[in-house]
Amino acid sequence: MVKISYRPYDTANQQNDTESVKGMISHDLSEPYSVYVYRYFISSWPNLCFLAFDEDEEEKQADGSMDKKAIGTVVCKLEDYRGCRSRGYIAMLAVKTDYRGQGIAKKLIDLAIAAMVDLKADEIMLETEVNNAAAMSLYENIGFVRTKRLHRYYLNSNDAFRLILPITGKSCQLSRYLMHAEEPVPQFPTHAVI
Amino acid sequence: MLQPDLRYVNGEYKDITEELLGLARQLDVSELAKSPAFQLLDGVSALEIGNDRMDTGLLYKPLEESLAQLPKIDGAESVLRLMDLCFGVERAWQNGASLIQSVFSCAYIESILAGHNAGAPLGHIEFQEWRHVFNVWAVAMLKNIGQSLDIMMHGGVIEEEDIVFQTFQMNLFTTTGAKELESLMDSAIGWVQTQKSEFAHAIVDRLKLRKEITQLGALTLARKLDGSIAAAKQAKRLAETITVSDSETPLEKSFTNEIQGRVQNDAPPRNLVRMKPSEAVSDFVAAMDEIISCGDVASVTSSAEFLGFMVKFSALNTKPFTRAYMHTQIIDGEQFALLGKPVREWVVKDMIENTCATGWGQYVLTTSDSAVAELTAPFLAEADMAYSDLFGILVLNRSRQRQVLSHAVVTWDGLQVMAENLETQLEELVEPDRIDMGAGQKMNAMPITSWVMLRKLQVMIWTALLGFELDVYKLHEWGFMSWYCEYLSLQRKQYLERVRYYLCVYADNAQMSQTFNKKNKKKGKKGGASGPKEVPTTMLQLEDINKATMLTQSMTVESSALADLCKCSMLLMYLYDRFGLIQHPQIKYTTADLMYALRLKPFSSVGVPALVNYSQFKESTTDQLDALSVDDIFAIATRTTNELKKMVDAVVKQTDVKREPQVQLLQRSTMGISINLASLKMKKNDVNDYKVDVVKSGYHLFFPVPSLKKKE
Repeated sequence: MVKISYRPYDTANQQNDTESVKGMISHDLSEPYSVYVYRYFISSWPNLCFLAFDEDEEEKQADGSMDKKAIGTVVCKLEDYRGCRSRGYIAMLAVKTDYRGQGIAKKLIDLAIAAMVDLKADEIMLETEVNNAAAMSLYENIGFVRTKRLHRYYLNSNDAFRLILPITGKSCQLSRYLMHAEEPVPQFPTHAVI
Repeated sequence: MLQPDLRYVNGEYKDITEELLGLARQLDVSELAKSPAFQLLDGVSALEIGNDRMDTGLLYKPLEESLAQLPKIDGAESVLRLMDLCFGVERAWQNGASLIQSVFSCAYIESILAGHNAGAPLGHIEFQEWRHVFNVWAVAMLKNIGQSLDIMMHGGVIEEEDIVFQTFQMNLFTTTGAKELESLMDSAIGWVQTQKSEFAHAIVDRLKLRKEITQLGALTLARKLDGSIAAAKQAKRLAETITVSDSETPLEKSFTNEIQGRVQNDAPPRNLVRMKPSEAVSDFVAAMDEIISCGDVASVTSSAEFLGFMVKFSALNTKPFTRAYMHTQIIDGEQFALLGKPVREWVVKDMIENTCATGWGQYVLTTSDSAVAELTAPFLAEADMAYSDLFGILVLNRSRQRQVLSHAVVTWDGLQVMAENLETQLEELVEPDRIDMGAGQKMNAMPITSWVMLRKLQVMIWTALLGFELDVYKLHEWGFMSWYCEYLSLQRKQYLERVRYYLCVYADNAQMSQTFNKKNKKKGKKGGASGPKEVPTTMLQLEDINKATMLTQSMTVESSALADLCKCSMLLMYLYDRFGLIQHPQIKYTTADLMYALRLKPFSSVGVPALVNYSQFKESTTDQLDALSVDDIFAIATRTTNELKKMVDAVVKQTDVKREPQVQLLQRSTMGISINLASLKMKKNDVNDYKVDVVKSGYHLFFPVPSLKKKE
């Protein structure tokens, strides 16, 4: 049984952690991300990036030292959406092939969601390929709802689903009404016609 | 924070190399240099220079070098094969690939584009070599791509989503006229026919096909429906006679990714995409069939036919060009017209066809009375937009249709408020139609509000049902989404029944008033300057009322069938769930209420019919069903399904299913639900061996059937 530990991204260990995250994510991607993509997420929301480690294995780090082997990561952000709700976004998730099927992705997602909930997220969003059954199952089993199908979303021409986990009621209201919450509620017709 | 000075001095950026190096030396490993002028978000689409997965510059090779390595096109056979290979990449582009990974990947094509002086006429070509023939054909192909882009940029397709518009600053012979190209192709045909080659005939066929495609583009841009359909028919005939070879040829080496290093390119290297020549021809024939079927839109006369035609078209999953073609032919944004007629004409027609057929409706919608027109103008302006938007939506891809329809729900809901206000204001000027509710009670008929309501409900039902087609709903959501669709369909049925009653009453009155010829005189006295004017329904309008009644009758049957089908689907899903066949999420950070509310978010702002919240839904459906025995629910479901089957069978008998195949698909969906109900009843004692899978094939797009399948 592999002993796995989890921790948030360590800002005091930026070089090693960033390279670990980059290595794991880029290995799984058909399209490469530039260093700015990682920088954008990790520098702005280091508290929403988590890593998983194999406690019994060590690997060479970016600075040349030896440390625990990174085997999974999740990268997220949380920001205001249209001035009406706080939206978390799960941008990247990767688990090394040899370690899959042990619930590591689920645990990483759980840590990320808990962190975003603590930061008062109203909803958490992500996109996933329609035929990525494993990812769909992971997210939907914890309550993510498919809100949109996105036609030919990926460069490989595949469609995507946008998934949202509603945390508060704000997630369930149209943003155009939340944006004008201070305005009087429009007078909708309330009586039958004909 | 270390901050370089990025000043822009006297029209030039300051050289900050030394400053930057100095600051960089002060940085720790991984520390970031930042400027307020540059946010990290700005950099996310950046590409790393020198990274072979991102930097297409690494592919750079001068064009001359690429051309020098190409196989020669010095004979008829090589021209023929290269034409067919290029046709393969052209069709790949038409199906969504970028030009850079398809058409432009051919160095011969790139050399034509590089050698062409944009804006210069092509001039006369003295045909001396076979290669000249290829050049003319290729120029026409590039022109055709430019025409297609013009058409697709008009509407109906979404950039990057349906098709990649980017041309990498290449001039696609936009200033070269179609006639000029056709003349050149005629010259090419003439030259080829003088050559003694076994391939000459095949090359002439391809040139003729290219001429026809050029015609199709030109006539579409000129909005000539009949002419463009004739061109599509001719192009299809020509394509069907073409024989192509998919066998390997050295000419395939003409297609490389080298151009990606030569053009200004902000994307990572892309793989080459092409269709085999035989696939390209089949794809083209299918595309022409789609275009040809668009021609039938010319035969529609009523708004109901027009919308019905477009609803069927919207479900065909046609190619991006076909949707853009349809958009071009039916929607004229500059003239604000649909099928050549002003949108206003269609809107008024639609209202009269549905709920405003009586004297009152026709008067307020068409009168020149300035007081009435002043009141109706703002409403009609909004109605024009909402109505024409529906046609714009129906030419989009299905995923977009659902998204934009959900916005239309809000638009139509707002329009309903306007309609109610309008009818209240009109009461001062024109005596409204009233319906006798019995016991001496009368209420205003409100036909304009009813028109909005019926269209709004239709938009809501489409939006909700598209979720089934697009797999947006998980199985555990099917129950309440089916129930919601049933609820909307019943609401629509209820409104339609009221409208029909109102129309029938006024038709009777019109006949009586004509028979006795008394009322008019009486009304003439009433309609003085002091009070609201009373508008009688005349015999002329009787025909419109009868048509509206018939339309309302058929829509009532449709709504009834939809409601029953949704109910049967809901009951089937409930039973699956009751037998533990439906997996529910292990929710932790959300609640069932929130998930339900998020699912129904597109409808959350609608006033009427108001959204039913989760606990109300549970109370009125699942809680009641939970109280019944499984056998009782099977009995209810079976009875409802049998009634539905009878209703749908009757509709199928009265329908030309060749013209309306969706009716037959609806019948199959009904059968599918019925069979699965029976199957579940039979296997209820060993359900653990089974699972539920959604089956789509053979069923109506909106009504796939969750079916019982043996576990593997």
